[in-house]
Amino acid sequence: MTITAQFTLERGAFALDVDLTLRDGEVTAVVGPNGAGKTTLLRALAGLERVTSGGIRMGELLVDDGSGVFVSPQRRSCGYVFQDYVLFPHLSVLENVAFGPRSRGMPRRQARAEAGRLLLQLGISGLASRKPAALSGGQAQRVALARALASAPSLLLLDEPLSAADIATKRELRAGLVERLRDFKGCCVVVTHDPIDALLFAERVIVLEDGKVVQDDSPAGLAAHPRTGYVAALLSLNLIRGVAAAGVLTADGGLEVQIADQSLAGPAAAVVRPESISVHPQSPHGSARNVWSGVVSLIQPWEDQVRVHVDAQPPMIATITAQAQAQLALEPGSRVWLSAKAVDIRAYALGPEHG
Amino acid sequence: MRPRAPWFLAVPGAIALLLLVAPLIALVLRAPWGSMLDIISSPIAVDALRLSMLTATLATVLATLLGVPLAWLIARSGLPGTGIARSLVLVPLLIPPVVSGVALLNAFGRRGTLGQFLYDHFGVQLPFTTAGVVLAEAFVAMPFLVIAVEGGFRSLNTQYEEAAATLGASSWTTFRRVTLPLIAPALGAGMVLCWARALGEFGATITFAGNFPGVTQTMPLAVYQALESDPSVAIALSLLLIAICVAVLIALRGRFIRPLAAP
Repeated sequence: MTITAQFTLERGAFALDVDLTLRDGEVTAVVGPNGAGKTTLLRALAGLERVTSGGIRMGELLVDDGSGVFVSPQRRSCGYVFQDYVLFPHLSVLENVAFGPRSRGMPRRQARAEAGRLLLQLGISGLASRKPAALSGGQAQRVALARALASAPSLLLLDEPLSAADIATKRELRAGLVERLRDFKGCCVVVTHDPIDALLFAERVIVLEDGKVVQDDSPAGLAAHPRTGYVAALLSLNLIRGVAAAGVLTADGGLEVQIADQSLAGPAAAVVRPESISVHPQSPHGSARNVWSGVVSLIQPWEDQVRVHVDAQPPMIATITAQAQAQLALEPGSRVWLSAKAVDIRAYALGPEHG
Repeated sequence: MRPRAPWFLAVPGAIALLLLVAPLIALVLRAPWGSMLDIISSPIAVDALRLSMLTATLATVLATLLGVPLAWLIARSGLPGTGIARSLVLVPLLIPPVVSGVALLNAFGRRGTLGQFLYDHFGVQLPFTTAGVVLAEAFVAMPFLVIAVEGGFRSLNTQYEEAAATLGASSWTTFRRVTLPLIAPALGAGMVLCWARALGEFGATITFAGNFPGVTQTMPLAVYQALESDPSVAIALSLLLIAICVAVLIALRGRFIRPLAAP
C-alpha cells in the first residue's frame, strides 16, 4: 500500500505542512528538534488528529481531507507504538497483545493463541502473564511493538521507541528493532530525536523543522548535501554498514574499519563524524588505526569549513578547514588518505549478535 | 524527626475528635444490650432494614447507570455548558434534604410538572411508594458518584483510549474494556459514597415518600419514629445502622482502593 500525505495541520500558532509518499517495505525515519511536529505527523497518519486542509490517502482510500471525509483510527490499519508505550495496566501482556485481534472481531481464544504465537516469535513469551507494571522499560517496548503488530497493520508508526529504555538495554533494543523493522512488509514511520537512530533504522530520513520538511533523503544524501545547519551538525555523518567480527567491521563495499568494541559480531554499522576524519596527501604514520585511500570527488565549502567528498568503498566525507584545503592543494581527482582514530568511531549492532 | 504538635493545633484537634466520637460512644454506653436481639428481630426493624438495603442498592444502581454517562459528559465531551452542568450536580449536596423532598414533590407528585404526565400517560405514581424512596435517595446521593467518577475520567490519560482506538476497538469496546476498568477505583469509591449517603437519607425520603412501614419506612425513618415511642429501640437500630455501614466500608475498601498498578 502506498500512503500519500499532503496536508496542513494547524493547531494555534503551530502549523505542520507536509507532502510525503510512503511505500511498502520502506522504513522512514522522522527527525527534528523538539516541537518540530514529529508526533503530530504520526497522530495525523493514525487518525488521532484531523488535518486542516489537504489530505491523507491510504492506497486508493481517502482517509482525511480536513472537511467531510474522515476515517476513524479504529478503521485505519495502523499499528501505533506510543512514546511511553501506553500498555493497558489492568491487562496481562498476553491480553494487551490480544486486544487488537479481539477488537477486530477475532474470538477470544483464537486472539490469545495468536498473541501467544507473536510473543514467542519476538522471544518474550516468558512475559505473557505479567502485568505491565512488572515489566522493565525494554520489555515494555517489545510488548508495545508486539501489540501494534498483532493486528497485522499495513502502516506501523513508532514514536521515540527507544526513549523510555535505559542506556544498558538501548543497544540491544536498537539492534532488535532494526531487525523487526527490516522484516516488516508494510509502510513504517519511526519518529526519533536521536539522529543516529534515524540513520540506523531507515533507508529514508525526513527532517522536520518548525512544521516543515526541510530535507527528505537517504542517510548518504543527508551526509552529502545537508540543507540546514541542523542536518549538517547532527545528521551529516559517515555511515558504514557491514559485518563486524573481532574488532573489525567489513563494509559492504569492502573497506575495513577497526572498531573499539571487540565483542560486536554480525550485522553492524559504524558512524564517523566528518570532523573526526583527517585528510592526508600521503599514507600517514601515527596512532590512527584506520586509514583508507580514495579519490576526491567533490569539494564543498560549508560555512567557514570545507567538506571533502572522497570516493572510497563506501564514499566518505571529511570536514577540514579552508587553510588545510589550501595547504593540501586538494582538488577533485586528487588521491588522498583518510584516517580516523578508533575512539572516534561508534559502532552499532544491526541485528542479532552471534559470537 | 517528627515535629512536636504545638498546643494551638493539638487542643482543638483533640476536641474535634472528641466531638466526632463522643456521640457514638454514648450510643454504645446507653444501648439496651440485653434486649438487642429482640429489637433487631422485631418486624418493624426487619422491614426497615430490608427496605433500606433494597432502596439504597437500587438508588446506587440507578445513580451509576445515569451518573457515569453524566460524569463522562462533564469531564470529556467538551460540549458547551459542561461548567454549568458541573455546578448543577452539586446543588443536591448543598440544599437541605427536606427542600429536595419538596422539590421532588413539585416535579414528580401527582400534580407535579413531570408527575402529572407520568400519571396521566402511564399510570405511574411515585410519591409515597418504594420507587419514590429510590428516586429520593438517588436524587440526594448521585452527586457523590458523579463527582468521584468525573475526577476519575479527568485524571485518566486519554492515550489509553487512543491506543485502544488504533488497535481497532470501537468506542463501546474501548469504554468497556479500557476506560471502565481504569476508572474502577474512582467508580468504586463513588458507589460506596453514594450507597452510604442513600442508606442514611432521611429528609427527602420522609417529605417525598412519607413514612409507611414496609413501603417507605427506611432505617433512619424507623429510628426517628422509635425515638418518640421507645428511645432504647432507637438506640439499638442506630447501632445496627452504624455497624452495617462500617462493615460494608471495610469489606469494600480493600477491593476498590487497592492501587491498580500492583502486579
